[in-house]
Amino acid sequence: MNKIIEKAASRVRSRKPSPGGSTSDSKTLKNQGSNASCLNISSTNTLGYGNLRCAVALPEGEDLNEWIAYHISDFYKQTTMLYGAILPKCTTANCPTMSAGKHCYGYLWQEVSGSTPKPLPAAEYVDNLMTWINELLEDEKMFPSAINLPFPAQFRDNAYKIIKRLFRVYAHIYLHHLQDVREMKMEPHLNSSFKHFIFFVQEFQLISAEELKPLQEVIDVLTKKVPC
Amino acid sequence: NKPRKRVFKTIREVPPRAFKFYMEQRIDNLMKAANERIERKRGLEAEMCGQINSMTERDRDVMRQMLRKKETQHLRLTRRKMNIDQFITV
Ligand SMILES: [Zn+2]
Repeated sequence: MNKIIEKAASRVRSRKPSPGGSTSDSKTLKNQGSNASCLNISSTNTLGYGNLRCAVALPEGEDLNEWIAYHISDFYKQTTMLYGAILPKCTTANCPTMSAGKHCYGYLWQEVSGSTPKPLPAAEYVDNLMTWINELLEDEKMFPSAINLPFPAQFRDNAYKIIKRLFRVYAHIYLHHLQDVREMKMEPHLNSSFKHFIFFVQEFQLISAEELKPLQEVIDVLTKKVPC
Repeated sequence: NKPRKRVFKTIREVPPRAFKFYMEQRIDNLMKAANERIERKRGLEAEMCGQINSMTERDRDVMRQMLRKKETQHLRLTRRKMNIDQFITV
């Protein structure tokens, strides 16, 4: 009897969100009183909300540009892999235009500034987008990789643009491919990736409420305020 | 009549398994990295506590500054590595 109750209880416990499907957590952390940051508090076995939210906060004394650049590389990689998994389902027939919700938000691609923005099949749009980001990432002047090389004045502008557009990839996947995601059993992975992304966006207020609208519901569910 | 193969500049098909594996590792690692950073800071402070007689407050600030600089460099190196790994398929 006790065993059954224990089992049931553990099932309830394990229903706590477990981003990434991973159950391991850092076990190295001890509670260090005043020196400890908010991360120390959550000692659960799952990677809870509080953890991720704290992990994106700017560490004391860190350079904000460096922090943003690091996260952009990270999110670029996560979204290219995520979208790569969806790509076979994101055909021209299924997704003739890049959108987030069929009648809500359409995204147009503008090849060069001044030219007329035009609709593209979603896959082509994402390919153009990722190509554009990748070129910036490889541009030593924009994303310096040599130690001590400074970021350029226009870094912040470009960074905001990249983040804003990466959001559209998540929006497209949530609103057009959630069923595919579920069939591939990668919903927790999508959620973890997006949660990481959106915590970062919220921390530094990188995307306007208007742009976030297509996924507002998802955001509300995933980012329920949990104290650090 | 199969649709002709699409050609892309940057995006590639990724096996769902690879994406899942990557995310599991990634979430794990980023939590670890955050905790390790806190641990390094704590370690330095603890070490300096033990040198209460031989270190002035200025010395301590120099040490803290050095650690911050190292952390920034560490971020940059990690980013560079992430970019290089970008096209290595799992
Ligand atoms: Zn699609």
